[in-house]
Amino acid sequence: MIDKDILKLLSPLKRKYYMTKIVNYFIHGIHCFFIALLSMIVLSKIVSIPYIMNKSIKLFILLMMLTIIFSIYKKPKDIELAKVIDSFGLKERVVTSLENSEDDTVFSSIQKKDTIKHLKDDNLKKNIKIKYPKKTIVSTVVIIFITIIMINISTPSVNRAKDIERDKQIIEKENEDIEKVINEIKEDKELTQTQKKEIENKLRELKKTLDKSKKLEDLDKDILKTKKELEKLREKLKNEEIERLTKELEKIDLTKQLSKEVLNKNKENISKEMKNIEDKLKNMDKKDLQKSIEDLEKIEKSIEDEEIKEAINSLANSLNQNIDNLQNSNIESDLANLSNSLSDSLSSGSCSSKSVCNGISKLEGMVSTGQMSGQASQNGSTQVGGNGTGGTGSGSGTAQGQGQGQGSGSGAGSGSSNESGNGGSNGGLGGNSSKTQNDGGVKDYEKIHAPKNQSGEGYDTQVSGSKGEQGDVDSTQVKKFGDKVGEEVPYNEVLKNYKKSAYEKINTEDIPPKMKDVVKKYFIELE
Amino acid sequence: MDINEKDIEGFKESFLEIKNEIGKAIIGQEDIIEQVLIAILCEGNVLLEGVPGLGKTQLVKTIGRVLDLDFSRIQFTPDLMPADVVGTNIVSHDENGKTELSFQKGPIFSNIVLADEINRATPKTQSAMLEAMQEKTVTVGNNTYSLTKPFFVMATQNPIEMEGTYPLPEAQMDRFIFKLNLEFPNLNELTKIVEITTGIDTDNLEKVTSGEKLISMSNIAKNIPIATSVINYAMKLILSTHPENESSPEITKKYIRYGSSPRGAQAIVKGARVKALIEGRYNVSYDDIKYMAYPVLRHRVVLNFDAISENITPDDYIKEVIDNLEL
Repeated sequence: MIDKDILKLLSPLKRKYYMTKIVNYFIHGIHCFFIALLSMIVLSKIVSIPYIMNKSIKLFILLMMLTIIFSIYKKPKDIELAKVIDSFGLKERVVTSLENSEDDTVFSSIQKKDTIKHLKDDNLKKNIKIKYPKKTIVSTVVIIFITIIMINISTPSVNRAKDIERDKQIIEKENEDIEKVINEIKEDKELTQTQKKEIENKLRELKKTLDKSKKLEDLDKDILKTKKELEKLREKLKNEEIERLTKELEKIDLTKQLSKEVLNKNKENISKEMKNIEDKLKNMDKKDLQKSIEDLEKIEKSIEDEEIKEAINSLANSLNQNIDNLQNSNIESDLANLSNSLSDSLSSGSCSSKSVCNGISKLEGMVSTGQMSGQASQNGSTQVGGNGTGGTGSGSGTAQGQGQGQGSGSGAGSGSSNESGNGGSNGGLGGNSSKTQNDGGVKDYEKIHAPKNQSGEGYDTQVSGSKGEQGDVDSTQVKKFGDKVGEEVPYNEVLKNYKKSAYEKINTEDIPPKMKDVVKKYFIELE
Repeated sequence: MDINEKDIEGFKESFLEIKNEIGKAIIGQEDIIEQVLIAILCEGNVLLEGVPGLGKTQLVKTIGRVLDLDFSRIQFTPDLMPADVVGTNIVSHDENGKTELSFQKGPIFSNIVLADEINRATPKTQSAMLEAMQEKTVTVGNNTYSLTKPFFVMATQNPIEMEGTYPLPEAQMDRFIFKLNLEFPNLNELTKIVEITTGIDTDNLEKVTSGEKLISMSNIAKNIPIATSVINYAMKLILSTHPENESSPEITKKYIRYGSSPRGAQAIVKGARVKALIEGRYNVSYDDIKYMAYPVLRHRVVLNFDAISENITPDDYIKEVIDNLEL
């Protein structure tokens, strides 16, 4: 009973003491957080650490959780509290009472009664105060101050981290776009379930790759591959549509020949056939003309291409209106319109499935974003060296320069060139990409002549004087007789190299940010 | 023996009654009186050190009168023999004229024994006190005699006259629970002493307690609870007086030759229990341990030459150790 009374009296004191301890733990937790934050910020100046703010928030939450766990784990025990209360002038009364809680001898009993008498003193609770760790608080403030200063110091690592962050954001955006495309494909009524499933799988695979990748440049290959798959599907759908159209056109005599030309995808002949159709229409009697109009209306109903549908409808209406006086009517424009519609539907870029085309255009957008980011973050460097010693003398000689060039890149294909040789070397637009656009199978670009700087295999070098033990060797590279400086390269390769060069320049030279945007926009538009 | 709450609560009152009664004859020296009484209640012996004329003998005599106990005084001199202290077998004749050896008790057979200027006797005679002080028994020949309880030896020694003295060996020093240093009285105390001792008035001391009461009080003190942390503190204090102990403070390693014996640990806890009761408390506190550290340890720590040459006193050393010892 006496023991319970003591514990009852200790209870409010324990609560207050625990609160003071929790406050103390949290102050120390915050102190630890700022030490860790400062360390992370200092480290980020040397090593790229992207999303440092997100990481800081996570770290803060983690430390606060640890503090809570620690506070629970370090909940004061009765004996600890007893010692604290005894230090307020109770002369070890409480701790003795608690230690003898099971003892009910007369000595313990009288001792416990004495303890209870002293525990009833109201001042005890007031004596339990929060002891702010002044040193910790001061050092925390200093650390915060240093952290603020450190945050504002920019280093190449910090810039790299920002690039990584930007890439991540783009990847996330791309992921969202892919998800949208997947949804559109799911809702597309023109596609069969198998087609939908196939496209969805391809896109999901691409999405997985996106999730895993850290750099945009690495993604282009996968994006292009998926794009190629979608383009194949688009072609397939288009062919199906044309087949359907030709079948309909073949049903009537008037458009029989036209159906053949459409099937052959010969735009010129389609146009010529339109002239034949015009002649045939104009030479028809009213009855035949009426039948032709009805046939055209049937065709219109059976096809799905909106543009062709409209063109046929327009032609049928014109014929209907001028059925009595067709000779003087102007149906040429309607026929030309139909010819254009048919030609458009035959062209490579035409689309019969909106969702597929949307997907292709989104993937195209992703590739160009990736290229842009890749180009912007690349810095090519060429080291030129070559010191020798030689004696003095005169004469003439020939030295063979040797050099090796290598480069790597992805997507837009750019990289670093590393050259070595007895002579010097000149940096080009960048190393040769080991990957060409054809690898991706996207498009066969027209080949154009591009002047090329010397790189790769060395050239004959005319050296004046003879090589000795002292002095610098000065060598000049000249082209071999008959060598052509430059080569036929695809348009996109040339564009890529110029773009890389321009991006390098704007990244290294002091150019206003808005002007940088103009340059970037220019290249994006060219693409 | 049954002890009830009333006895425990009355401890402080009884103690103060004795102390006040002694205070009538002994002016000042309140701490000394208190510590002597604590020693009696701890069933220990006290070594009083002070220059002549400070009332050492008077204090013992007064205690004897107030406590209603037998009192005897032995003046230690170089020619004092052990038999003069403990007694001897003498030849005697009974009523029938038969001759026999009978034991003649020495002055040690008393409740309170004053061993005045104990360091003037030879070690052999000093050693005669050992058994009585520790075991409360006396052995003469083949016979062992128990001393009546309570038994209490109060020895005195003069710190300034060292010529022709035999310093007490460590073993004997350890048997004294406390060593008390008598300080010279201040002006007021000295004036009062002179007034009392030079006039015609004699002190009217009363017997305020008895031997039985003292034993009962002693038993109460033995049962006073002590917390583990407090007892640990006392043990740490004792251990920190040992220079060979790794955790001892630097001052111990520098100035101490030998640390306190385990008797010191026992004495400090015993004394602290009585001190707690005197304070009106029923448990031992750190302060009680600190208070008892001085009389218990000052004769148990042996200072080295460095400490003596630097005028470090045992009390200075003990204070330093206490100040640096964590609770």
